[in-house]
Amino acid sequence: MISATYFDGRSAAAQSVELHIKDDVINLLGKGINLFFTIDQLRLNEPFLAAPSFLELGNGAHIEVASSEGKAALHQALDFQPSQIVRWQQKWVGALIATGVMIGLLLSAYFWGIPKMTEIVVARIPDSVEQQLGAELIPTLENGFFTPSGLSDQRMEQAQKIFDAITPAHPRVPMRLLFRRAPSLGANAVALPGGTIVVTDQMIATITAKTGDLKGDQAIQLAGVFAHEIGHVENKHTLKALLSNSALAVISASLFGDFSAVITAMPVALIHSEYSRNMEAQADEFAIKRFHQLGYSTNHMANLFELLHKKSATDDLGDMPSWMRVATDFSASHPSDEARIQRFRQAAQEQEN
Amino acid sequence: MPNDDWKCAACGQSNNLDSHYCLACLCPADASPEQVAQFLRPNTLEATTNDSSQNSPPMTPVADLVTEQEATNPAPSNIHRFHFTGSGAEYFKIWIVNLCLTLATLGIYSAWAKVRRLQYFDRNTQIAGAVMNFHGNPMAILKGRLIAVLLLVAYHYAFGFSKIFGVVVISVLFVIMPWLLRNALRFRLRNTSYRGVRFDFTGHLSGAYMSYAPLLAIFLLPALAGALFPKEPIVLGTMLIVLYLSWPIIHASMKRFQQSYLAYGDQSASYSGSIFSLIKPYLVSFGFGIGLLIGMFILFFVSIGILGAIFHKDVNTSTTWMMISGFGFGLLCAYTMYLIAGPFLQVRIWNLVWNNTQFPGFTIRSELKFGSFLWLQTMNLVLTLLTLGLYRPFAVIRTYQYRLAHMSLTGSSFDLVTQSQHAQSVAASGDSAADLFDIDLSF
Repeated sequence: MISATYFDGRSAAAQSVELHIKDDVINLLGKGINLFFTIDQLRLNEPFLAAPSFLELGNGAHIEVASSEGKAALHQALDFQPSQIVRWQQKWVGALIATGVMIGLLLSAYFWGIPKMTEIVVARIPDSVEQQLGAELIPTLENGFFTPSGLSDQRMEQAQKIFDAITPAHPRVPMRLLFRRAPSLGANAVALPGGTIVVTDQMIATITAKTGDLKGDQAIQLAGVFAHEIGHVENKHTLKALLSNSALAVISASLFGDFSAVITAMPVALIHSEYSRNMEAQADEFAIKRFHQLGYSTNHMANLFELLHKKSATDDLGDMPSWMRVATDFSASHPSDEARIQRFRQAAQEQEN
Repeated sequence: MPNDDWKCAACGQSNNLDSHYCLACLCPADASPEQVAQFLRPNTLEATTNDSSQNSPPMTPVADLVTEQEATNPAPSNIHRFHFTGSGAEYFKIWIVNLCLTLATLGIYSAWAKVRRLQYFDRNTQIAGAVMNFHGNPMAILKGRLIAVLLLVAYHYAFGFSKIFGVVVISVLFVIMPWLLRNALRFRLRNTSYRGVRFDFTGHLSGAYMSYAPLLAIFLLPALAGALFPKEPIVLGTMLIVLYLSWPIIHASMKRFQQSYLAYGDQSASYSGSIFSLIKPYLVSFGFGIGLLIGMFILFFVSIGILGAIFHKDVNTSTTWMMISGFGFGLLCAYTMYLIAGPFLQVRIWNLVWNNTQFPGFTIRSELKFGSFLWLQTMNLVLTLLTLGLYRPFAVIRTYQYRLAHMSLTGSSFDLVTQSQHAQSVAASGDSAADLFDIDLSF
């Protein structure tokens, strides 16, 4: 016999009953109550440690069994089998496994799942959509983020010629070069979706600082900057970075319950999005290939990197803690800077041999 | 009964140790002498002999006793206190498995996780000898979440593609959000039961549009104005200042809408809080914020003076330090505000809202205390940070438990409450077709 409280599902009145279980039949006995149910009519809700058992009788009626003896007897009578998930969440070992599985899932999503997913999705985005996205994006960036260039027409013409020469004969999308001032980016060049490459005045100024002109070695250095950025465009890196950053934002938002991270303005997110080390290496390899085709020495690229590396060290921002600096793509003090310089020097030697 | 473990202090009935209430008179097992006095009734025994009900024969004790007595003799009503039987350790295990499965299924499981979580909290919430329960269909919740994700993505990229697309997205949000929010509230309540009787929300769409429109304006107008009039920050600024200043009224009218149309079975709630009632708590916390800002400014300049004296040789370093300490003080200011004004507002608004909500025959008392709630939330935050978030389920349990422990229900009997027409027809048709548009949006 199990004592329970009965609710008929029509009124909120509680009625004390006794449960008598025989084979597959449960009999509810109380004052004025004599009900019979077969066990398959009943549905026991997920059991919790200290909460009363909640047994649905159908038609909105239910009984609650509070005593632990009564709960145990009811489970036994109903031959209650907890689901896999319920059994999992009852043990501390289960909690430990869940934590381990979760960490494993997060790591594999970060290192494998998200890159793979962006690879697949980006392969399906037509070039025309990418170009349209770029066309919509540029005007929003012109509103404050970029300001018109202060370079002379002659300098722009020189740079445009270098750009045209380094651009492959048949690029994936038509390439376009823009000159802009962007103090927050420093000496930099950025690839936007749809084949637009923006070079900052400061980048041109850094390269021309030594000789005051954009000829010879300096021209090849600028060609290296362009070749690297064209490498990003050819490999659709802007779209990939945008997608994987959005995916990371969604994951962290659902983990920490903060969706404000997701609702950030896209253009700014794009500009500040960092390419993965792998993407940088791919763009470098593209530039090396293009240099070899044109017969330029990649030593020039190594020199440029050393120049930018030194510049960022002596910049006004030099004494700022590194986490307060805006992370940028081309000139930032990546830990891999030295490895990249070495790669260019090595490629130059391979070419000579 | 063989396993009787305690004797009720009020009526002498023997009760099982598992029961937090005396089954005969509903007096809590751990009642203080003053509480016991409320349950001492000279005519308790007479009531058992008073047989007035015809269609349902008189049942043994539980709440019926009180009812029949109420019916003949409107005596003072009983105070029912809430009990929470859940524990942080038990909930932690449920929480971590939920999180793991949600991640493994790319968020799909979150709907089932939500049902499990709500059932855990509801079924561990006891009052007057019975528990609450949640009956929501996970598929309905999943549907709601998919819609929410679509809306979020649309909003996220609204102005990334084109102005026209952005304006369309914002307009669509304006039109459907009040409807979605009303339905979300209704879904939650219609699927929550107590004593086998469902809760409900009976608010009309017109009310939803009126009370949610200003809230939507606060969230959506900045994006809209920023995209359409980028050169005129004054337009946007004026609109936002007006909206922010009227926030206490907007918030109060939302609460009013949410509370006025609560229903439990066939009993509809009434709400007596005015739309100006939240002005005072907001003013107090605003004043606190101003005071904090002034205090921080003074502290900031004093420390800048000290640092400047130390680093006066190196101008570059001291500007960097000025930036860092400015940033630090700003952060400190924001966190102090979040830690003190946040709980203050929560306590005041929660008490105000529930103390103004009544059901026929029942009044609700909420007596959350600022001091102890502040201490609880500070500890929760510190421990959650120290454990990298693993303390979070414990914090949630402790907060829920605190709220319940400081609330009570005063009323006579639940026996007169019957299932609403709507819940009856749903039960009769036996399907969840009525759930089709009832979606849940809360994350």
